[in-house]
Amino acid sequence: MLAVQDLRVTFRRAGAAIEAVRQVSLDVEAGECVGIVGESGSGKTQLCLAIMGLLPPNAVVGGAVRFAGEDLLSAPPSRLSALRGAKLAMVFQDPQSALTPHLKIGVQMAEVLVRHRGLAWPAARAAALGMLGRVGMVDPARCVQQYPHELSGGMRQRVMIGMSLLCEPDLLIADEPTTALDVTVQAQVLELLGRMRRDLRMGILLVSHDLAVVAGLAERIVVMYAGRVVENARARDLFRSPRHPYTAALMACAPDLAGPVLARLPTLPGQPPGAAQRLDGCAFAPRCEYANEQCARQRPLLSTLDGGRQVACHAPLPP
Amino acid sequence: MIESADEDPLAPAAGLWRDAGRRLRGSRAALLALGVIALLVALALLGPRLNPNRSDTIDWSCIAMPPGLRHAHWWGTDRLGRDLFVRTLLGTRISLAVGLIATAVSLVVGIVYGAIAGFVGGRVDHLMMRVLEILSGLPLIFFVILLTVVFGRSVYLLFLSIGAIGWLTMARIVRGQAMVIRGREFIEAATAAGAGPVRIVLRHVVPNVIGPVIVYATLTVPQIILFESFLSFLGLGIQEPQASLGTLIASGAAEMESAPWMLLVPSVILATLLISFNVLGDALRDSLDPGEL
Amino acid sequence: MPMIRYVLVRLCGALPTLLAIVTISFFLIHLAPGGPFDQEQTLPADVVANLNAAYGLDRPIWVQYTRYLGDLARGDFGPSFRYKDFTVTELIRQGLPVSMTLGAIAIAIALLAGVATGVAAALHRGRLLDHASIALAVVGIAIPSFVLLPALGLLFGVWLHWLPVAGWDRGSIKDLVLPVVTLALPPLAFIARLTRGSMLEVLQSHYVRTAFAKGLALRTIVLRHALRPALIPVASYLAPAIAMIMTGSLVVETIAGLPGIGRYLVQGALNRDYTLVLGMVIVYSALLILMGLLVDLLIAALDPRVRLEA
Repeated sequence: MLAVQDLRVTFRRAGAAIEAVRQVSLDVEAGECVGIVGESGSGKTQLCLAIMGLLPPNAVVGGAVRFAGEDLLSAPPSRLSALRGAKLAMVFQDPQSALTPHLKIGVQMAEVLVRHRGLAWPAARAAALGMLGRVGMVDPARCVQQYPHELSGGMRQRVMIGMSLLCEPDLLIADEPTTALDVTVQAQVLELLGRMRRDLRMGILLVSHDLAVVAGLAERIVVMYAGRVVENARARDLFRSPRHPYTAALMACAPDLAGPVLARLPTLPGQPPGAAQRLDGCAFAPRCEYANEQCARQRPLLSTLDGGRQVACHAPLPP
Repeated sequence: MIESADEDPLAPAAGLWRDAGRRLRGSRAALLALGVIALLVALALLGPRLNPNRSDTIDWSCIAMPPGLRHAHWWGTDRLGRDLFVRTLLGTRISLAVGLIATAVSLVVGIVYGAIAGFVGGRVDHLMMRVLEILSGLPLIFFVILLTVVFGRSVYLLFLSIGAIGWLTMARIVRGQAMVIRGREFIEAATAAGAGPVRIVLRHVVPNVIGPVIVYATLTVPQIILFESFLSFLGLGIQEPQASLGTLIASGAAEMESAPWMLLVPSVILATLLISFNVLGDALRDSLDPGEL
Repeated sequence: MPMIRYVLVRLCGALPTLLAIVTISFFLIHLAPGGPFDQEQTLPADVVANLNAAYGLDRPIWVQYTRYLGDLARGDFGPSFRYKDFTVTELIRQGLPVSMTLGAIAIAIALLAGVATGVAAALHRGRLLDHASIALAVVGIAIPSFVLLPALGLLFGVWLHWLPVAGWDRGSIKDLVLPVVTLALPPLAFIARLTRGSMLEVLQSHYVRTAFAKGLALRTIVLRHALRPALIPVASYLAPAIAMIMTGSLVVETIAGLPGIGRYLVQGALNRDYTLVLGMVIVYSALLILMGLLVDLLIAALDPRVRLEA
């Protein structure tokens, strides 16, 4: 349903070109949940914004994004705005700043239906009320009359999710939907995403810096590092045996995760390279304990291993 | 962001100034404004000597003469046959002098007031800020008019009353800077490194306060020139036979149907002066504040 | 109602300020050397004494002060020294509607046109319209009213003959065009610049990004989501803008010959008409304080996160 091919996002800032996303390819099938995992700065958010067509004007996008067979990158703005919110929806990281402060929740939700479904305001408001009930708001009738600052963080994120689901989209992009929330609320929000996905049979692109967050929901996981995909595998396979050293390191950093604990890499030393940096070899090589001389010289390409999984490493870990 | 890491942490202002200088040189508008100001200042100082006429000489043969280069009155004459080139430039000189002196007065008062409030802090600061708050809530322009009624119209009163308005904002800026700097780590670091108070003030405090002060002073000069010419225009400021741009514009406005150049000449000079100072001040502010683009 | 309470508390808070203004002005004027009748060509001493007695100026100053306050409480600003047949109250009653009309139209134009220009410039950032609005802001802010009005009068009145240069023909619209434009232009330019800046900032905010992600039309996003927060800095600027228009009204009414309180103040100052100047300063101060309160209420209406706390 969603096919991203060789997507590149470059920012031009003061003459310098900053590569945030470098040749990323991934697919999301209908009803499938794909998790994208990587440290902050690995280009996950820019990837999501590029798919949605929401990048700032100084971004240059290359490659292709196909949604239900339609090329989004060359689509005119009017087509994009007809798709966004209707077929293609997004939930943002921080619900505090992502909701308009001076509009009541009811208005912010209803306007989506007014726009895409052509509903009259009262009908749209009623539908919004129903959706708030479905996402587990305790008192929906009160909530539609409230302003965002009057809600708690978890409630706000429920509103965000409910708002994005009003038109029953085919694909939901959720960018770090739980990062700004308490741990207990995190679990509730993830449970909600899973339930709504079953109810609406929609695809989800779930982005997080935390493997544990995507573990419960995603069938397929894409690991990104420095703007590139370094591993792409079914979740089960990935957790059973990570093939890229970076994936293994990420898993070791999440000790509560079910799976093999690699005692060799309890923490991940060093920092990822900057997006402005030119890289000849593997971007992870400076932090990789298995790096050899080839890794510093030549960039490993994403190659398919048995079982349909992909990894970009000269010396993948043994299965 | 990253490149600042290798700079001397004890001299945080140096990089800022270098940056500011570069940005300012990059701004053509600011350079142009600076050039225009320099030209006007030079004209105001030297111009009257370039012309054979004097400001109060009445040329009976040339009453209300339009501007032109064929005769000695390049910018024309007024109803009384007085030369407008000389009168306008002398008026510019007075306006500039009022602007600079009153700015200097407001700078000194504002810096002293603000620095005391900021560095002493506590109850003194609280009290001084309350006074400032009340004063800036008052419609001061009307009080200045009131003062001109009470004490008559004199140039000294003009300086005093205009300076009294200008220092309020300056004091607030300096206080804010002083409070920020007092708590900064590099002051503690410098103290720990054994630097004396004089050295700290000269090397760390002055470079940090001076930026906003210069910016604000540059923006204060046109405000004061404007204020002075406003009062003079109304007849409450500079009095005949002395001329400031405001009085020249006032007499020009009265004669604009028969002698429009009497209005246009001083108006163009005043507008150019004000725009140039504002552009320069804005550019200075932008170049010292990299956050605001 | 918290709002009514807030308004009442604020009004009570404004009273001491106003009293302070009245007191300072009163004593400044009365402690000054010379009296109101000094200027006139050396009147005989007994005439001056009679005049002083007639206006109550021979009494001790604190008697005069308490009497002035008492009169003020009843809305009586005393007699004008120069407009012999009028009391200051009559002049205010006559001039205030003219000045208020002029000011209200000017601020409305400045707001509407300024916000529209600023929004348009922000949406066309870096293009011709944007540069034009920046140029307008620089010129509009820097050119003083007393240059602008004669210049406009020269252009549209003397040269083009479209509009009257000056005068007050029973409040004909044509007479008001140039004065209103002159009063509106500086705050208009400032509001355009403020709106442009805040709109650019708001357009980069996360909630506007959310609005785009919801597929809303640009019109809806700008008008429903972005405009109100972008107007908050504009609302805070309104108090200085009103002060600016009041200051401008002194010049504009004087040049255009409009019978407003601004012209009376200038005339009073030139004639050393003490009671008139005193009355006008009090009226202007009270107006300014009242407008400040209105502006605060407006800000609270724009941003639901602002609580009205006295």
